[in-house]
Amino acid sequence: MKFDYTGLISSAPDTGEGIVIFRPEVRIRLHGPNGSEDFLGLVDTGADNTILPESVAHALGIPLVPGKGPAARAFGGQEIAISYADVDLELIHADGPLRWRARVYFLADPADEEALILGHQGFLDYFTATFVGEECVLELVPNSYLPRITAPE
Amino acid sequence: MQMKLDEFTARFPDRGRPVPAELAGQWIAWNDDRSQVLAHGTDLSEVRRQAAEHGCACPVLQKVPRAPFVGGA
Repeated sequence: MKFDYTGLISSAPDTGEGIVIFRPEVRIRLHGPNGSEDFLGLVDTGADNTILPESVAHALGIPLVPGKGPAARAFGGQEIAISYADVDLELIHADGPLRWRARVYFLADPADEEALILGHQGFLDYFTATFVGEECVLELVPNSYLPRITAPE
Repeated sequence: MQMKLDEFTARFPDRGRPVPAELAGQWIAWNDDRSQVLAHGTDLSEVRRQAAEHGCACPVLQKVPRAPFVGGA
């Protein structure tokens, strides 16, 4: 399954001129008691976990369990509470959807710092991922570790 | 990967237009084929509601980072 990187117009950090920044984002459907919604999530090899904003959980009615481990730290050292839930995720692609259930962590980020991060646990562990930088394309091939489900449980 | 806008349009003429810089930090709701931004704002539920008012039952929701994003949660 191939996914075109998404593009964002921004300013170059060095020259300040307008540029397009490409990011490996994929369309992921999240399911909860209130229904389902499609989001673009950033596939991030530097993230240990799949981490979403709490606002997403609230929108879908996903009940959250407060984490007992250490809080996350934002830039500047601010501590951010972590909660979690087991969530059905569905990768949306023309080849057909793939659905699985995984533990997802949620952060009570400040509104302008919210991000949808698809990290190793819950996402990348289930795929062979190839980042084709020259073409700005991400290729994902599901592996045998993917706990695929075909119907809501 | 980063490039100038004119290079982007030359190399990837079939791809949708990138997200405008003024939407950084906001939620946006795309239509199904991501060719049009239906709504944007800082509140996810409100953006979702506005997309529904445009007749889109299943928008694609994206949180636009305040670039450059330095990654790694």
